[in-house]
Amino acid sequence: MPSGNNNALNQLQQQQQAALSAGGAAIQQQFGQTFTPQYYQNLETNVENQQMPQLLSQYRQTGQATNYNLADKGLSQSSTAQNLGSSLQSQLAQGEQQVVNNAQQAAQTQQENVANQESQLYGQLQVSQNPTQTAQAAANAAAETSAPSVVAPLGNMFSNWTNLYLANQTANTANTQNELALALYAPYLNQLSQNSGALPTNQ
Amino acid sequence: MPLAALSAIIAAAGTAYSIDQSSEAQNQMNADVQNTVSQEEALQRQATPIYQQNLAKSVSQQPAQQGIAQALQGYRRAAQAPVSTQPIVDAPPSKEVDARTQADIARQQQANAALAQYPAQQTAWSVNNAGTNAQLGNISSIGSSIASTLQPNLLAAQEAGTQGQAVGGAIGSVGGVIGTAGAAQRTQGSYQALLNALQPGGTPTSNPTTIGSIDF
Repeated sequence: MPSGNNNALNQLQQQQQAALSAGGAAIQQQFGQTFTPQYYQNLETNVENQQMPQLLSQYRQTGQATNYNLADKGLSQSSTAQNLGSSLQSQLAQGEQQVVNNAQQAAQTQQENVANQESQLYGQLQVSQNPTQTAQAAANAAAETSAPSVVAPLGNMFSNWTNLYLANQTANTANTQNELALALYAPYLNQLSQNSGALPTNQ
Repeated sequence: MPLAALSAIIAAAGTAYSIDQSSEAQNQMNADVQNTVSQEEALQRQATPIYQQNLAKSVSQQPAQQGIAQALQGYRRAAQAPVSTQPIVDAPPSKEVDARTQADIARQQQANAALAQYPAQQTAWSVNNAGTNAQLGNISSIGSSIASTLQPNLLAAQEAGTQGQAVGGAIGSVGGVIGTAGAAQRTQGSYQALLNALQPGGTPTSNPTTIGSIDF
């Protein structure tokens, strides 16, 4: 009798192992042929191809607006123009890095989604132990997961730069007014600062 | 053979059979437990290296380094676009300003690439853990099924033992019945001997106890 039970257990284990192997192979085949390294590379490229033109368009518009303002003030050939051009180019580089990050993040997020889908399918297989059902579910899941998702439009990557530029202009104006005020009240301020440092006496 | 002896033999046989059946059932149950434990231990031996492999991958810095390299490569590729390399603001050319700008951009790229290691590492962990969970889940599933067969097997062995004991008990009962019949015969023989002795001209038996003895 012990050998009979032992055989039954071995048979049970082999049957389960076979069902899990077959189901696992179905998942691997379906996902392996869909989610290749090329798939993730394409996804990354697609996001870049969609967002990079938006970024460059914003860059051109901001550059043109800057050129107009500089020319309006007669500063086109000034060091201010050099610094603004440099700053804008630096801002463009940050935008490019952001777009690259977005593209790589999209590919990474998709990798995690795919891994989670696979994990769920394995979980279902372990409960059902039905390779046929698992193969069907894997095909459906792969099709749903691989469907191209809509890439959100890129926000205005130069709004901060523009705000900073305008703020600098405002600050420059305010600084001029402050300097005038300081010059007018300088004698009083000097006297005030001398008194504030005096020690009290006992008399 | 005297009925009493026969009764004793059959009763003993019944008891022996009952003990034998009980012992066999116990052995069967022990074997079932041992077998299940062995199978589970074998599965555990399969699972351990899978977990250790996952642990080794988790502490690996390779995904982080790849993330940094991949990000830097992407940044530099994007920075090579024609629009990016041409100044857009009308200004007199300045090597000093250009050099400073390029140095700033290179620093930005390095800093952002260093940050890119974290999502890359996170993704590697997620993918790695999902694969490990799937493998361990398979083993766990088989282990659960094996463990679930233990209780029915033990109950079946116990049931078989109980039935065997019942047969042994029945055999023992037959022995008891025979013993009772022998005793009844002995009683009847003694009674008959007494009647014979009381009757006039009756011949008392010299050994009344042997009257009840019959060949079976």
